[in-house]
Amino acid sequence: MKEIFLLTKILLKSSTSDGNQKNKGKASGFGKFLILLLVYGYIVIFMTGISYAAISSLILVNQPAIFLNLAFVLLLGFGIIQTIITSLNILYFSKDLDFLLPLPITPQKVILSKLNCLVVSQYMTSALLVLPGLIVYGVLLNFGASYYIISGLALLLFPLIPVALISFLVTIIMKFTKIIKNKEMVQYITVFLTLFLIIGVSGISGENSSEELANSLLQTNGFVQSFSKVFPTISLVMNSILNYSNVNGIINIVILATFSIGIYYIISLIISKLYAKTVISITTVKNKKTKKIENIEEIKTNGIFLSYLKKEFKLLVRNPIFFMQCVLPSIIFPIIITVPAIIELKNTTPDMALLQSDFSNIINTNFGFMCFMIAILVFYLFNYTSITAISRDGQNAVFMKYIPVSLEKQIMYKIMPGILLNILPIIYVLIFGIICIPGLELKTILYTAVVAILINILNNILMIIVDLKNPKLKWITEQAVVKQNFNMFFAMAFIGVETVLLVLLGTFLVNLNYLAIALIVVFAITIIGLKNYIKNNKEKIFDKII
Amino acid sequence: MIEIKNVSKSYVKGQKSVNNLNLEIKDGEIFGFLGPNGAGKTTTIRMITGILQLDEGEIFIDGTSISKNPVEAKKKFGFVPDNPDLFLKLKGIEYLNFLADIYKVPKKERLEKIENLSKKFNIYENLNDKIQNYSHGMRQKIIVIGALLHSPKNWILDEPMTGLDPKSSHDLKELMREHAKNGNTVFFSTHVLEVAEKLCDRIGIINKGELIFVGTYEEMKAKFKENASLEEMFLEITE
Repeated sequence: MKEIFLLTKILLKSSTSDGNQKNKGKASGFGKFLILLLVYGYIVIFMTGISYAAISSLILVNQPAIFLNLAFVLLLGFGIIQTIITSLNILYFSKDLDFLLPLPITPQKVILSKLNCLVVSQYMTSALLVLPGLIVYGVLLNFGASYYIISGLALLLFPLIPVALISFLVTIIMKFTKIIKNKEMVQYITVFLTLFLIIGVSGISGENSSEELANSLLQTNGFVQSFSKVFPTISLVMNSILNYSNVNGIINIVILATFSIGIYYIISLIISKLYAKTVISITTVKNKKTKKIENIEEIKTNGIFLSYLKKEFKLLVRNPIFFMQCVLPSIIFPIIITVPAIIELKNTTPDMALLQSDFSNIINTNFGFMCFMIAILVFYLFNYTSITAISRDGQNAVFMKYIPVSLEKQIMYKIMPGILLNILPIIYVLIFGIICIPGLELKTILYTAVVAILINILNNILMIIVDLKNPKLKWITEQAVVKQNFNMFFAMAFIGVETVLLVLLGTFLVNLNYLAIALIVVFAITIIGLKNYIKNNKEKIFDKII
Repeated sequence: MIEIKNVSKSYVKGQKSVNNLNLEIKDGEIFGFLGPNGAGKTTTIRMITGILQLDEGEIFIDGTSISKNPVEAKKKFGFVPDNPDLFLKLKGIEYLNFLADIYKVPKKERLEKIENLSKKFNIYENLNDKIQNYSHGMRQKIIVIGALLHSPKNWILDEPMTGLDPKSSHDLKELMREHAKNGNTVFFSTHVLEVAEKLCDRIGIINKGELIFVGTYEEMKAKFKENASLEEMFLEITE
């Protein structure tokens, strides 16, 4: 037990330290703590606000429990995607394996320690996403201390089974995919197969007909029932919290604890039996046999910009973890949201026709423009390429400093993938507007495109500056670059500030022309200012890259 | 030529990692930079290559200041860092071609260089493979080749022999000799005293940020013990 605790502690410590010890003093440590506090505070306040609004509305219709359902379903969904990527990395592709495997520790202890790390990372997510809502729920409904105790215990126990089950699934898939000699392919296949299996199993076990399945997707309770078949703990959690004041709550929480800890332990034992052989074959596997270079004359020369950009894209796409965490969400999420909306709005039911006509009346006003812009800004949140552009390079980031290319130019080259990826949401949203809302004028489209592109450039510059000022260059698993990178919160903060500015100007300026011109001027001046700041302070900005 | 004038650097206030360093590595010279771990070797190399800012002093590469005109100064050297794990997801040939683009090496010249150097280092057959599949030694070789692609007059190498097999190590030493013979400069750090003894025209020993000896092996022997080995003298100087 002591060994597991120590190993968990070491693994957690080594995955969260940024390694830039040389420049660290007490002051910078305090500064970082302060920034973290502010960023956490910002998210907690944001989540508290949303929860308050949601619970208050649900109390009015006498259905507050729907909030709890939704919170735990979202937590589960978020946790599943997070754990699939994280568990694959922590269990099979982390750099610490070379040190851990020769240690005189049983495989089960290694597995339990690694699973513990996954669970702790889920706690961080719960603390940010669900805890504020649970507290607001308790306060608004005047619940007593036992509610908070039961809810706290439920939050602690909740991730155990999903983490264990997903890790088990990943292990099984790895057992078969290890025969594939291309490591990147193994990672891609394992992640997609696990996701596919979980969605498939939850669909099959939850509902019988496709119509019912579709209905369940539209209803939170349907979701809960569907997921409950795969992760039965969700019902136990709900029953514990909703019955906190009577003996049923205690019984449910005891069952949840026994069930969760038992399954967690048994699955860790099963994984450990399969783990050693698989992991050794993965860590020693050589990629497919080298294809000899046939004609060296075929290599192409490029200008510095194009060559640099190609290198950035290759490094992003060839690393499955970086690709899936930084790029994929920004491609997938806007499609997931806009395509069903287009299909739904194209259904010419009377309700939809009315909705479209309402939109048509306001689409070329400040309000319509703001709706487009806010949708685009929300989609920008899924693009993590620039906020991790330096951290992804890890120890290679120092390369930027000894090649004969100016640092300010390299900053611009490195944000290009982020800028190009953010063009997609602009296109998606505008296509949505053109297809679904009659009367959308060319002027509105152009204003939206120009302002969105300016914000896109601005955000990417801001994000890379944040990453340069606080890079995470020493990491053990690639997923730590994204998962344990608190710079992400700055990206949210930038979008928050821009949204507020947009809404304020949109409220006070009388028409769309004034609004668009004001925004173009504000963002263009800010970009020029930032570029000058980079030019005059590049040494200072880059001083953590050593 | 590399000129280091009155250079100092501190990571922590009041504690100098390199203190008032003065050094001149002339054209046609192989200069070995020695010192125990944490003595200031890598810090010095990082300052020469522009990775670290100088607190005081000035460094010139062929007369160009690395602080005032960094881009021009960086064109004048080829650098081999101590960590060869660079851009592991790129193929060897992609890495070399990328560097050739960065240094604007004409196509004909880059093809010749890539082919000759990769064959010399016995890595030609692996150029189409990703660097992540290379052994430590192969990674070191690809970095060395990359640093030589633009035919820099000054070579700066941080522990270049680490991980190389005897043949490649021998070939690299030959290349260094040939490069210096053509009137160019080679500056490298090493822990292998034997290499320094046999290869270098001059050596510098740094300890606790202070340069405590600069000169030829013969001058060192004259200054310290006539019959002692470099290892014995090194230990005596640095202890």
